[in-house]
Amino acid sequence: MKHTVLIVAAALAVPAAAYAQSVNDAQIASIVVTANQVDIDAGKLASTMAKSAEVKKFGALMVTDHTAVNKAAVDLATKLKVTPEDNPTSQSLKSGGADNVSSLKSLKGDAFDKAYVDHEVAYHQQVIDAVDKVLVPNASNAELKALLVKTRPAFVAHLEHAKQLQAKLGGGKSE
Amino acid sequence: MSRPPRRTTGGWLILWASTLALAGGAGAAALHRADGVRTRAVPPVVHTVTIDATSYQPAQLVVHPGDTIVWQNKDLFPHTVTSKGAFDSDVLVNGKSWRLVARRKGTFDYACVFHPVMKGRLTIE
Repeated sequence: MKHTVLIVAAALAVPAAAYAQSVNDAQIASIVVTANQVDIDAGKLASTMAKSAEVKKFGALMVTDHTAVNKAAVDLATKLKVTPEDNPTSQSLKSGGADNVSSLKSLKGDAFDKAYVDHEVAYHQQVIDAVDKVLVPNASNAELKALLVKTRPAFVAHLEHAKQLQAKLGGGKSE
Repeated sequence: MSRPPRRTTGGWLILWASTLALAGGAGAAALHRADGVRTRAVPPVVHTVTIDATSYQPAQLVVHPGDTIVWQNKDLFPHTVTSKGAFDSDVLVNGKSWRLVARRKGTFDYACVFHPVMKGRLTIE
């Protein structure tokens, strides 16, 4: 489980630092779409594989909310005629997401729930950090920046929600 | 992103205005309601709470019995306005509104069932 967290940190933090001053709007669009897709993929898995009903619901919520962000991002990119541009951050996100999903698929029951929720906590924290330190400061288009600012509180809500689940899962010794 | 809520609010305002007119014209009509809810000569007010950026804006609202509160979801995500045991909007997707006419006095804390960190408070006094 700890290694999953590290994978996330590595996927986001390292390229984020390296590209802190050089991402353009096309790259930001790609990072946003990939970051959301990664969480949609994990959410889909959790909505079917999680043991706890609350974790299942959280997984389904991640699918709904991050799909909504992606729709808005793609609509905006289309309107602005910006083609999302692959870059090291989006590539790392993609491979980190794939690693997470394959690691989760090997788990069941409580172990799955805990690993998924731990990952969600770490992932949302990293995404919020990336939004604050890299994406918002570098976004040059006002509408793109506004979309990032508008969606940030949802990521904070997800983080708090995941932390509450984490506390419940960690605290319960029965079952 | 579509933005139908404005129209919705306008609709409610018109509906409310026509209801008042039907009620007997004079503002004092509010004093004679059968349910005895209104005891003041102040006409009812329509308050709007915007749901955006995963929050209720304003998060705290004080109203009087007879007032109407309209919650408009301008956010990208589905939300609810849920006060357990008191009221529940059910799912409000982007662009949808929900209205509540204030009746029972009290303080009602509410939240979004999907995003429990979203909190609001309605005080009816």
